[in-house]
Amino acid sequence: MEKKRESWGHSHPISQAIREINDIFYNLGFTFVEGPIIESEHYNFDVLNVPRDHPARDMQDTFFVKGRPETVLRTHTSPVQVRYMESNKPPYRIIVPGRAFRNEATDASHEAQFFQLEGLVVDKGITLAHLKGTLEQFFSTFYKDDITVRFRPGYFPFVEPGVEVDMLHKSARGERWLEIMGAGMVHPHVLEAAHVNPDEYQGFAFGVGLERLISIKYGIEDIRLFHTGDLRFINQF
Amino acid sequence: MKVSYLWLKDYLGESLPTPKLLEELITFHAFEIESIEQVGEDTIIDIDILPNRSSDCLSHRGIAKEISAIIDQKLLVDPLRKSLPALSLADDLLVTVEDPTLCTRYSSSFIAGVKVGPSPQWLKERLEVLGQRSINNIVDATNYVMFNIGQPLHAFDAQKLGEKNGKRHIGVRTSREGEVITTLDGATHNLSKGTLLITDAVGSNVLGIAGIKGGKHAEVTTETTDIVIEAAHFNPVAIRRTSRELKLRTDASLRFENRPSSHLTRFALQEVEELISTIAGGVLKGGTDFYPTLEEPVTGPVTVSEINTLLGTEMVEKDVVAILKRLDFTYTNRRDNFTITAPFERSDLHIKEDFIEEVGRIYGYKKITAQNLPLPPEKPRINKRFYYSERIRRALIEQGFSEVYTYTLCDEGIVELANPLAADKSALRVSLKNGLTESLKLNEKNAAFLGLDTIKIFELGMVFTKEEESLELGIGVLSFNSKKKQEFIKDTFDDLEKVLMQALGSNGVSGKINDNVFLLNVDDLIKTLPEPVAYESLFEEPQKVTYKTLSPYPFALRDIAVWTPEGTREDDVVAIMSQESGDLLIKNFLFDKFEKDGRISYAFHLVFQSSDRTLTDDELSVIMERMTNVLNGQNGWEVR
Repeated sequence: MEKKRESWGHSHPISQAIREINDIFYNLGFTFVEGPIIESEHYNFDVLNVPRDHPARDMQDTFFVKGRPETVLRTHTSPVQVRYMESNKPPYRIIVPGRAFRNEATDASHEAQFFQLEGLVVDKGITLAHLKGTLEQFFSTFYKDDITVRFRPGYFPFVEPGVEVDMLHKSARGERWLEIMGAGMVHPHVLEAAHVNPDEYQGFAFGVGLERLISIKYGIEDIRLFHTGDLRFINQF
Repeated sequence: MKVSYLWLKDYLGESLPTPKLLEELITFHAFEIESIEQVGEDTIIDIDILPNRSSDCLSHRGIAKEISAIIDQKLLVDPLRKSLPALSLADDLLVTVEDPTLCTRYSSSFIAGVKVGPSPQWLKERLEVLGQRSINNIVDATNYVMFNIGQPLHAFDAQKLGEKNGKRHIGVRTSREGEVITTLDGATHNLSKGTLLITDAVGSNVLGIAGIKGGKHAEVTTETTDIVIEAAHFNPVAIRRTSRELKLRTDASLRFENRPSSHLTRFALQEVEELISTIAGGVLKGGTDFYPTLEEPVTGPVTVSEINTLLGTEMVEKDVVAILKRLDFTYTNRRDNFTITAPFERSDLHIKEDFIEEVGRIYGYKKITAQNLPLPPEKPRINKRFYYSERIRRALIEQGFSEVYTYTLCDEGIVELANPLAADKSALRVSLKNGLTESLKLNEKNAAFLGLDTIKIFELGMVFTKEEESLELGIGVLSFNSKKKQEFIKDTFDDLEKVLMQALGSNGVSGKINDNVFLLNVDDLIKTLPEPVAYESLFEEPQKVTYKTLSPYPFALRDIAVWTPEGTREDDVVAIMSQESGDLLIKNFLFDKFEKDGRISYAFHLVFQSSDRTLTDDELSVIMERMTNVLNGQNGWEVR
């Protein structure tokens, strides 16, 4: 049973998560970066190696902005990768927590509006093994547990190779692998689009749904609760 | 794509792993598995083929080839490695292609004297387990070959094609204004100008929408005796545009829009000729092959060190050699320097990294050992907006405000969506006002549940005006107690401005009040503030949270007050109340406590709720009565 109320208010679980995530990644040398939500198709797709009239564009259902040609609500936080690289010199270590939108029907595990956490590391000699190491460090700190991750082949146009990332989640019900995010090695076309020389630099990128990360942590079954402003939910955190 | 296990067995025989093992092998080396299902004698594996491999793996041969590389077993048969006979030109068939950039290859076979009828049982079964309907032996043969090697085919009734100088004539051209087609399913489509069509070049009959769907005009029926089989290769962008425009997604369009190899056409015709000859008879009268630009195989130099540097592995020359052999890639190498050539059907491979991914998949990502990043090259920069947002959060939370996130999409705004999901989510919010007002209302309903007499909330969120998106702070207050509500709100917000000024080290914080909501443009305010030098630790480590799912059933309230002897603690009373009400008493709020004549009175608001039903008054009366009796039964206790 809950204790009686205290005089302090509560921090929303998304804000708490972003705070924790920034703490973890700051210590690993990552800068917290943001970018626009209303985005051009250029940054949301073209520079991310998702060409026009390519079937890969169907992988994300997109909201278009009325009256503005080639303008969308960003479908992921990945456009910030190129935006950041264009205006800064390598090496890069950034995280981008932020809102993204997908034109898909809402249910307990899907929302048209959600938060995504993007991560990008570009330097000399960065490998898939570093991605694995970084994610294990992140998950282990975030979930306060010793967490292993595994990769499966995956496809996202802006990485090559692309991987699906699973983490071994331990709970009262036992251990099981959870599909958690997409990641991979930054596609040379993306680096080229940002005027970074892919013969000299390479790196990894990952993108994960923030609500999903938090839901796994607390066993939340309905991700819609994150955005309804319901204190019965928020005051539990 | 649905894949038949028995079909795969044609390729791999007894070395094909069990479906269970296949699931694991495919998952960790190639694709995600959607489902595995027993269908009759067969097992159907639904494999999620993403756009990068839709060019070669939307086929049983493609999947078998993947498995062959994973388990290191050669295919027993391979239709794409058979030798192709020299083309014998059909005397009485002519094909004209208007634009070779739209139709990059057009191969065909002319077969006379076939007997159209039902397919043999084995063929029906092959198609039916995949959820396909058997039509007749000719159409089934074309579909079989498509599901086998990935090349869409189409059969025309040759006698329905126009004749010119004694030749049947097929044309590939874009549509003119106002052309219409009735497709095989009987549907009529108005074609916009420029749609790529297969036509009867003599007459003006439209025989099909290129790469998407065949037309009714030259349909193969039981009367048909002579057929032309088309195996073509079209511009993927053109196919995709038309398919989207007509909202026609077919097995053919799905394959063509992912650019399969143009080399497939003649292999497919060879397969279908053989099959038709077996199941429908007829005589091959030759074929045609329009193929102006030969597609060259992709070749690339890759070094072992490049492979290891991208994957984080420690492979040596012989590891790479072994994997390339399994993949059936040809290569030459001088020690660690490889030049790799992909087989023609792997039209998905373009750059060095594509080849490295292939090596990595077969090697196995499991074998990659996690490695920490080297020390950061530089100190991260401080995000000013986040830094000051955190200060705002901390200050407001300390004042008893809880942070909410509300919807960015709403019913009205300056920035509107061209393709909204719903009318109430058709625009981006211009302010946090409506979201906070809704949240206040929602929480007002649950105030007793929450034990609150004032709802105090805030949100930091992006708002959208014509030219820009900016960060807004919205604070909402709703009090049930205060008599002078407006005054209360004004006082609260006046105080908060001071709180914020102090928290931000600013001497100019002034928001605007709109009903119960205070709004402030944070970006404008932050501009006036100094650049932060380091993040601060403003919040304590969050306590361990045991999250409880919200019950969809209503809660009920009861009050109780009890006299207890001196020295009785609040917890003592709560313990008894909890015990007597089981899981149903989910919250209690002490609202009054006083001591008199050596006794202490405790008064509580009690919140009851069930996770699986609506509680009735009767049920609650029983609980309250039992609780009262037990409390009264304690030495010196008395429920008031």
